[in-house]
Amino acid sequence: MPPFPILESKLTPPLTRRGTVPRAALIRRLEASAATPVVTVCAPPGYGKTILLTQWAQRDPRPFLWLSIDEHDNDPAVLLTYLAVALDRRARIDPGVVGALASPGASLVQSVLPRLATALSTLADPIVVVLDDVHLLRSRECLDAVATLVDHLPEGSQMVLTSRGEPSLPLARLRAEGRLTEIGPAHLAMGAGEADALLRATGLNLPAAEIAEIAGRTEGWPMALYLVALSARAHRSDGAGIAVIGANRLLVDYLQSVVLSGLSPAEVRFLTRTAVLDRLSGPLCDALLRTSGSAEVLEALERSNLLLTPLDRHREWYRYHQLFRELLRAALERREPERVGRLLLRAAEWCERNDLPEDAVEYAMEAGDAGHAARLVLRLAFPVYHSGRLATLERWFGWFSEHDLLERYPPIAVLGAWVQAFTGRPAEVERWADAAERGSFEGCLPDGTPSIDGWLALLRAVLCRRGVQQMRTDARAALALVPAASVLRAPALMLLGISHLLAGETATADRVLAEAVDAAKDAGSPDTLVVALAERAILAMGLDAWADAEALVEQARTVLRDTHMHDYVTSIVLYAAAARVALQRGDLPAAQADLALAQRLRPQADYALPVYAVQSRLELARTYAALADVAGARTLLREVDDMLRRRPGLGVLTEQAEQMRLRLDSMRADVIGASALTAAELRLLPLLSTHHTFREIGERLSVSPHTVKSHAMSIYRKFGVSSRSEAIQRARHLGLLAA
Amino acid sequence: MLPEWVGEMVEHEERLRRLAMHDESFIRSVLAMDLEDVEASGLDAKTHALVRLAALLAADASPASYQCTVTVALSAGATADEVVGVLVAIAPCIGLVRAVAAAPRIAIPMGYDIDAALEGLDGDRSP
Repeated sequence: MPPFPILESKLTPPLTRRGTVPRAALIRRLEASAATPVVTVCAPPGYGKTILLTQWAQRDPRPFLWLSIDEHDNDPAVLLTYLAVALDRRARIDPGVVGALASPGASLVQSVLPRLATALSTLADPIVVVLDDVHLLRSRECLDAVATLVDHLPEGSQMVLTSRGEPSLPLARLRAEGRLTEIGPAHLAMGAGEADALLRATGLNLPAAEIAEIAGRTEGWPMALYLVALSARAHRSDGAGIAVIGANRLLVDYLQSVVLSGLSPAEVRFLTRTAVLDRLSGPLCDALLRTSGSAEVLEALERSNLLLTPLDRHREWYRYHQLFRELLRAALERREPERVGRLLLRAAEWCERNDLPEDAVEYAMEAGDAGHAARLVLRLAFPVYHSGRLATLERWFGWFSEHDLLERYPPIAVLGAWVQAFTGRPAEVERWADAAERGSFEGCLPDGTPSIDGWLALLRAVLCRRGVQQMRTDARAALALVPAASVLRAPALMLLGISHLLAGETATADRVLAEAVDAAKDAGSPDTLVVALAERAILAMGLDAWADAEALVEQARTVLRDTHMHDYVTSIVLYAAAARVALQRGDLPAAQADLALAQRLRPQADYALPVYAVQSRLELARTYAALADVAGARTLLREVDDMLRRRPGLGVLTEQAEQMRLRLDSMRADVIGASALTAAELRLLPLLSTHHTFREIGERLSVSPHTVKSHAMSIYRKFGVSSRSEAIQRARHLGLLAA
Repeated sequence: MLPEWVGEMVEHEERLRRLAMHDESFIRSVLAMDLEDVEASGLDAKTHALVRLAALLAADASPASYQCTVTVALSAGATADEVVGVLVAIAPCIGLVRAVAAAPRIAIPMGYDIDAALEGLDGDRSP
């Protein structure tokens, strides 16, 4: 079950339409490309890229997996979900893949992508994967994911990418290895014969000389040819005397005005005003234009030309050809600029009323209506977060930040700060939290909390910027304000329990944490549940109640497994506790497995969530010390010291750090091994396992290539290896990288 | 447990790589240079490492060498302040030019990327 509604139209190849010209020579070229795993079809809009592929799909015996890329696919959770769904329909893939995608835990690249890649590489029969409009993918993570999948194409399968320009993928390497077939505008331009066929298909009958002239002037650009034909039809002329001017931009402007001038004012209004829409339906157009009968208009339009494509067989939803839409939109901005905002708002309102809230957000933002957008985003925040689409959420929050609206909408600022804390971006958190505190907000919040103060108190408690006492005050305040039915009640209880733990009040802490466990179970909050159980386990260990600790750890682990929270940052607390429990039991392999899982999360567990970050590191240090791994323990302790400097006043944790330091001072550092990897080195590891150069890795981590090299050498030394491949092998063996 | 290649013919590329990396196990076994003479010096592990660091800086060592030694020092219980303190202490001896060049490179094994910090807006927090 995918975690968010899947738009079938994205996965359906466009329907074949009458009146399209068969591109026999190009099809032959594509068929001859079977030996190259990657095919790129790159040309400006209107060159017939999609039509070509639809024709090829009809002829080729292999199944075609189609994905029409749009802006939303820049969220890796969205892109990978669509790919997983498409693959799953072809050959059952591991259901855990889609489950893992739906978890708000970050690392899709570490856990989901490898399994998706494996599913792809183990397909029994060859397939063709088509990614249409790849130029819309800008997210580095998404582009890297596509590159990874290319590397896992099985023999006989191909990936086809259409794009307006050269896609931002490592094509140079493929080209050099002869594994790339490229089809460009020169190939796609129509010759005289094809131009003739296209014009005839629209009902235009011209002498050969004139066709050759038009084909020459338009340089074989199919869209231009088509618009010439349409305008000729509109003027009810035989095409004679159409003065066709030179190349591209001028031609387009000319044809635009010619085409539109041949239509009635009502038709022009319909076309230009509906151009604000990404997808069109009869009812939506009716609402937009305050009219009726749009469904029939759309049907007629679709029948009479190729510029409006149906998105499904029922002809409920349509889309304009991109280029046509751009032309119409430009025309609207020229003719009725004052109307654009109003139209977008009507679209937003209709989408909201008709259960398309995410589309409504996009229209409201385009219209610049922050209030409307804020209301929608607040409504969607929790469900979208729980569907794992963090990048989508961050894009929406980012819009408010870019437009300097955080102080005006404190609830958005609070949620944004929360998300950034959990994705390890402490500097951003401070900025957003401060903005939230400065703003003011009247009214009720989507979880039922009657005042923004409740959310602010909870945020302050989890950020713990001012010490234990303040954390307790804030947690109490949050509990007082957050209603019993709210999903935030469980975290509020847990933070209160933790504040008691930090103050050394173990009995009270355990009691409150037990309440938090129940609340989390009732509310279905696995993230809070796992941490609350882990905290209780840590308390039990402090009292030497190892059997209790083990039971609690096992409970938490089951929840974690069932809800795929392996990569969620707060799970580090559980893994740290589990490692200690395993070691106490004498189960060294289990302890090491848990230590490795904790280490993987270490870079994300930063001082933005100071309690979890410090506490988990101290527990891990205890285990390493017990294993006489002084270097490992000291590495962790150094990070603890750094964090305590930024967040002093963490109660018992400060004393525990001091005790750990004294203990380590009496021990001799022996081997400096994998446990001594710094957080920066851990962050580098997953990228080392890719094809990227040190420079490219530096760009992705925002550090200099020099730094990357130093970190890499340090990793090799600590692993006892001397090459990148050996380092990756070792990391996988140790469990620091997913196999 | 020494790696299997010890005692076998190690190809020259691997040897050069390990040397360039300042790989301690290689140095110990193949070059037969004993780095584990902490007891012989009578110094505690931390002081031993810090003193070594000073010597490497003075000898214009390659960053791989002193970065490795910084890591040893930290694992022996040195704090970041103490490591920086070494550089401060010997700067007048080794010369300003060397000290300035060494500063960013010493920072890296301590998790501080000065280049990134100078560039980034959010100042002092490096990955």
